[in-house]
Amino acid sequence: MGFETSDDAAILEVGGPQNLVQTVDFFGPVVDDPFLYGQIAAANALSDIYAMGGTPFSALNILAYPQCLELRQVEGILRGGLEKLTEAEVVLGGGHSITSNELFYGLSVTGWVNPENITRNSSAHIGDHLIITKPIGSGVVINAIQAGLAELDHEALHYMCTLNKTAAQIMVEIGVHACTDITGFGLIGHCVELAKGGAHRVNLIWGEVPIFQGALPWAEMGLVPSGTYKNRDYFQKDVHLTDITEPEEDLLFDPQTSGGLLIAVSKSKANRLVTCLGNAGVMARTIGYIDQGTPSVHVRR
Amino acid sequence: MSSVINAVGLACPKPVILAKRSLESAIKVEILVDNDIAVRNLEKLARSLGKAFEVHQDGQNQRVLISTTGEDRGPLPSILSESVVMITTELFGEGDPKLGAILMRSFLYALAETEGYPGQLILINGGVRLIENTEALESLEKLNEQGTKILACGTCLDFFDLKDKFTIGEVTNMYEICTIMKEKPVSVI
Repeated sequence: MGFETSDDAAILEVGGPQNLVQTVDFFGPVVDDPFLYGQIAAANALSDIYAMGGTPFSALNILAYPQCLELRQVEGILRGGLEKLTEAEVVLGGGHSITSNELFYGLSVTGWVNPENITRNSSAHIGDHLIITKPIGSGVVINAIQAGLAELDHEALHYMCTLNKTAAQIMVEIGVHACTDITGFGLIGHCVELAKGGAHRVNLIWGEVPIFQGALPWAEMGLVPSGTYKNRDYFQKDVHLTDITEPEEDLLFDPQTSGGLLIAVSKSKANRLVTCLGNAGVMARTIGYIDQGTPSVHVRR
Repeated sequence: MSSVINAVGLACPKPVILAKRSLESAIKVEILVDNDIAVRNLEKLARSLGKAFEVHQDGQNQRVLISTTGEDRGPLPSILSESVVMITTELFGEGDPKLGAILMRSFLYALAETEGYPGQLILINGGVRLIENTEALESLEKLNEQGTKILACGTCLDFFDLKDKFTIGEVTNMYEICTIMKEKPVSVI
């Protein structure tokens, strides 16, 4: 794929009809429940393969944990990971763990992708519609859970555990121009990647962007992750916001964990994509479009 | 009652969580933090609670003060009601325009004379033009002095070229107006 644009995974030609696709991802605990944490970390790691239009088939665990952590908690995390791998029909080939002052869990994942179906994040076309498959605001929700203002049954956690598998399969069947998954850079950061990768202008309509329940008032209250500020500092020179309030801006830059797919699809196929995703039980919302212009992201109400 | 919190070394969102919990029983909270992000998030917390916010350098750290003094209106005094009045026109009612103008001035006069003043008064579309009328403006100023928060739609002020003339309250937008309509009883004129 080259290093000039930043894609979600590495693609390797290995001879044969399919290409190999590889990715790795790990992070600290986002929730106190070990089983949930394991599931979210696994869904997050698998997501990069799906975002490339690929199918994961093998994974290895990566675990670093403090010695004071109880064995059943460590076991809970790994069981959570295995739960998602089983759902994704991915073989867990082993892994590596070390003791450490801090807790980290994630996976290295390998998959196959048909070279004709690779969905880069640099290939959006002018006129494409932008579709998202999960709401945003998970960074703020995670903080709200820590603050005791939200519970572990909040819808955001369900979404974080949801694989992007079905969404990816449908996107490949229908044929789209570009895709990335929305994770640490936030919706806006990933849109900047899309814009710069294709040298186009990305336009978002705030009113269409799905937000998790409670995320806006929690952002207003200051439950904003430090990653939001880093994202804003890094990306703001390429972003133009019109009539967007401060908490709304915070949500646009909010770092996502195991977020949805951001898909650029031709105008003529957009309705069919949204309908097919909906029929398969995947939330799908058109949040903007691509047009000609300086590679940048413009957001209006 | 006030409380002092040492949040040095605590990662976000801990400082905000501790401050918020304290503010449930203390009217003033002092929090020591060691990073700029905590300061910015605490400022958002203060604003969302309608409280005053100050920050001072304290060696390597920053001392944040959140309190109910300063611009904070506190709980509504009893002379103000929870109700919101939204004025969308210069003329009160349909029928005769001259009568409409007289009625609007009387309405604003009466509104500003009796206790139970609206907590907020929103001017939108033709309503923003009332600030050009001396008598109406007097009543609006009186309401403002009693504590009524006067809000005028920014788009409308721009449209009528009145942005510079609007000095008795705050400029608002449709998003805020919708939020107010969802939370409070609104009477629309």
